[in-house]
Amino acid sequence: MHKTCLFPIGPQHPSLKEPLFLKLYVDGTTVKDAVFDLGYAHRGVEEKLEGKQVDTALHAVQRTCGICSQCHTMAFLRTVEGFAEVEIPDRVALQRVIVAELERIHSHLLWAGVMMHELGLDTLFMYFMREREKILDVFDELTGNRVHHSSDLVGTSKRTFSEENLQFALSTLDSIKENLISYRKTVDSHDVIRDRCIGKGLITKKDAKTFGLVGPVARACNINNDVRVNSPYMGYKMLKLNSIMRTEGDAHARTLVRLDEVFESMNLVEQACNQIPKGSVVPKYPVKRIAQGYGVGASEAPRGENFHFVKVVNGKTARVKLRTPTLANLIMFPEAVKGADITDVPVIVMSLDPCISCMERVAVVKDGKSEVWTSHELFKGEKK
Amino acid sequence: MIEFVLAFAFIIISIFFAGIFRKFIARMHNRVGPPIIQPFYDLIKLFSKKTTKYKNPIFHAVPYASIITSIVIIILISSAFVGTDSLFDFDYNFLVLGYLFILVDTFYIFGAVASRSPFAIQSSMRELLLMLGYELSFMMVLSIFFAKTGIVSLADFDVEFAFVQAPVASILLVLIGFVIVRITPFDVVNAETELSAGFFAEYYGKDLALLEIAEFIKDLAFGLMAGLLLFGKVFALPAALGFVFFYALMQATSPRYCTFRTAKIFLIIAILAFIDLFLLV
Repeated sequence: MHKTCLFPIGPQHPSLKEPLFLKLYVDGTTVKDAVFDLGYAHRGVEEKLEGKQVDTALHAVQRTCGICSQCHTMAFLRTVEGFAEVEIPDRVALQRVIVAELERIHSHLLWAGVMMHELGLDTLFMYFMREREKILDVFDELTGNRVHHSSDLVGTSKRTFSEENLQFALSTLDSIKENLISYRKTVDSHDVIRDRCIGKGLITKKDAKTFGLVGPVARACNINNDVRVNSPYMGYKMLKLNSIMRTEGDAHARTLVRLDEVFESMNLVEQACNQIPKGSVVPKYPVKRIAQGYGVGASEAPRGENFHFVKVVNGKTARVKLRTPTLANLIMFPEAVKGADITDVPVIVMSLDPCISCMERVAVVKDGKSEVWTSHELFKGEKK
Repeated sequence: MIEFVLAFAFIIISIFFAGIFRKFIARMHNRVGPPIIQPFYDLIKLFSKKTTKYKNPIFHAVPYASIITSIVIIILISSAFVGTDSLFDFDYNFLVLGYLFILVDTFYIFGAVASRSPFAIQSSMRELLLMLGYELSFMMVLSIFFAKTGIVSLADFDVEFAFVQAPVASILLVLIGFVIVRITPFDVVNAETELSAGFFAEYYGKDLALLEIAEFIKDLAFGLMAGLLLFGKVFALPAALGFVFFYALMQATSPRYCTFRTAKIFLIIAILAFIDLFLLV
């Protein structure tokens, strides 16, 4: 009988961009079992959101993730504006969509670059990052911020995007489109990339349904669970959107779904810019106080469905629950790497596009007694 | 004596070549990149660090064994430029050179196993797997060049543009260089994203500096040897610089094959080398 030995990836490792401890139990070079240890980037996001006024909570929600800041904002606002019955003008709805879709482009370009780095193709990594940098310049132009855009308020936005702003966004997208087409062609046709990705980290449609996967990971298994299509919100109601789907379910399919989504997002930004009512401005004042209510809302983040539950009591948030897409997809990680060669593990993990810091959660069920957990116990996830 | 002076000059040049390699890759990446003398700064920094003795004695012996072997390699290469007066000019010294290249990698494997790091051990497993393919083919390819020209020592090898006489062996030699110099798509042995620093995962300070110098020397020695065999003595150094640019170009433009695909390709290379040698005999 073969014995397995532990091959650690993380918490700090060149293939990981965020701290995560991936324990691989290998027999030779084949992964027999995998365990994910989390807790290295826990920030207590949900706890910090409790007891805040809605506009203050919104400020914190936007900082849950450095990549999908706008999508958290949209899920939170969709929830709050839903139960508070706040109507938003078309301009605000479309402005939010523009920022969200630009965010999807920048997230997918960042991901594609890192994926190429995992494959050993650092030049393409640099080229993807170069194009992404231009999108960050567009954020700067539109919202005044490159990472945490913080451009929205309940019922309105902080800024009215001017005609020049929108033209800058469109011309930037035009300028990167040609390069991105050639990068996509390289990724799709390069023999070594195909060899490393096709058939790796295979997830069947049945498994994807069973485990409730979301986002591009599910769409690469031919499951259309795009919130923008199934439950259109804000400006998406006014736009024509095609879901990018593939049937293969492997790392290569996930790569192509994301790269094709970049072009679809460019199309959406173009549609939104053209549909913004000329001469309109956003309302000057936000809805200042929401006394109470609760509700749920979802938005389609770059990694998949971003689900928020918000409960407001006496003008303050009593509970905010965020289910980020990685939290939904994480269950599939150990299954995807089982049976793979160690060589393929970074590629498979990266193809699932984990975002660790916005996913870290700790659930403590209180029974009236206080408990003190050491940081080590938190890492292990169990009390001695 | 001249070969020692020449070898010393080559050692300094090898560190510059490492800087040129990095700079060229950076330009391919659309970056400014580090200055060409950055490897010197890195080595000075590493030599200034304290090294604590806490591992197996083999672990600490390997950097010294590797650097000594690399220096012997570069002295042997230098002897080819000195001519028949050299102390190191003896019959079939090219075979010794081939074995010394393989010996350096064997020392790395000893060091990796002694370190007990899972990354280094995986790296050594991959190296052993690849050795089955490239070690034998490397020796066969070297033999083809000398058999075709009828020369038996490096110092006597004064044939220019020998690649015309042995085209298949020339291509195979360049391909084998991908593994020896550790360039994508065949750099599975120290694949950063999987194995961190591979063989050198547990090394730091002076030990790591010695290993890095050994690698620099080995890379230049391979370039000089390939330049000597393919283009002749006069063009050996420019050809070595040409190989730096060629391998940097490949490093920048090619992703990495998986381990087993690399092993399969090198098995095919070994078969081709064998056929080429067989046809010659």
